[in-house]
Amino acid sequence: MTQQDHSSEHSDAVLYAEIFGLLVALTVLTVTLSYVNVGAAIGLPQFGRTANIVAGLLVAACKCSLVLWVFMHMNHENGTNRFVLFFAVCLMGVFFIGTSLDFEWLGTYTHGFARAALGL
Amino acid sequence: MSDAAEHHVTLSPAFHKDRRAMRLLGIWLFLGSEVMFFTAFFGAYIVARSAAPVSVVMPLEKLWGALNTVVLITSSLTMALAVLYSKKGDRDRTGRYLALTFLLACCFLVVKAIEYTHHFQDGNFPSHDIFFGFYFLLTGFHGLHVLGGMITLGILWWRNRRGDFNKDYNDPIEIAGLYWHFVDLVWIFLFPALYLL
Repeated sequence: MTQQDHSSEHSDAVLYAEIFGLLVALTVLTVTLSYVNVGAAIGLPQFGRTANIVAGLLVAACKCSLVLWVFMHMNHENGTNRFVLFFAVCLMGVFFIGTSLDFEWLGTYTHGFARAALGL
Repeated sequence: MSDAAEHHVTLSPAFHKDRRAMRLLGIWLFLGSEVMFFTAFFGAYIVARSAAPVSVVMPLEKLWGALNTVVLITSSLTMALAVLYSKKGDRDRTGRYLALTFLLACCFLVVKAIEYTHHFQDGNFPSHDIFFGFYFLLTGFHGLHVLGGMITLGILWWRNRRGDFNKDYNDPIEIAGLYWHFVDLVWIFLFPALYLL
């Protein structure tokens, strides 16, 4: 193994360790957010729990991006593989948007039903 | 050098490159289908959860969930290091990190088993209500994926020990790594959704 190999191996390992530290920090942030009323904290109390859900999922999305980009080497993947992932994420978005629109505007799923469904 | 590794070096570099590209495309297509698999359950749960009152806190121990998150993130690090050292042809370190990843996966399942035991003792079975229905469905399927990953890791550890992989041929470890990171990604979303929000 050459000196250059050793140095690139070391820098990759250091990068992985840094990303690991960042992921743990973001996990702590996620747990902390669960104790805060995010809607009230950002001056939008009417959003209530939805703001917490959005904030929690945004932090999760940041963690997801770090894992995809660094650990899964998405930055080195070719266009086809990137497209496959992008397409899957787009389909996921269509699913979430469709379900949310149905929930918010058509009113097929009421708060009362949600309470009962979740056993509350 | 084992038969597999020996056979590998006799093939042309162009063939290796094409085969590696096909394997990577295959695993990304598989992971894309897995995204859709979890999206269906996860989306249904998020909608149900969004409608619940603000004051309600789900009856799960955050500590267990947070512990399992750290365990899986650590396993992602060890898996990334296993892939890194397999590309460098360092068989000892590759084996060591594969074994560590396997052990961390065991830890994850042990914590999950403890949690399940507590839920069952409290009478919270999947049929208790929709929340526990979703909880067992999502964590159960995720647990099965962890188990599948562990079997793969075990086989790879054994093949690595046998000398099947070298600096030029390590695609199976890289592909298993992608799968393992995906299992981690799913948990990254499940943890806040089920335990915190």
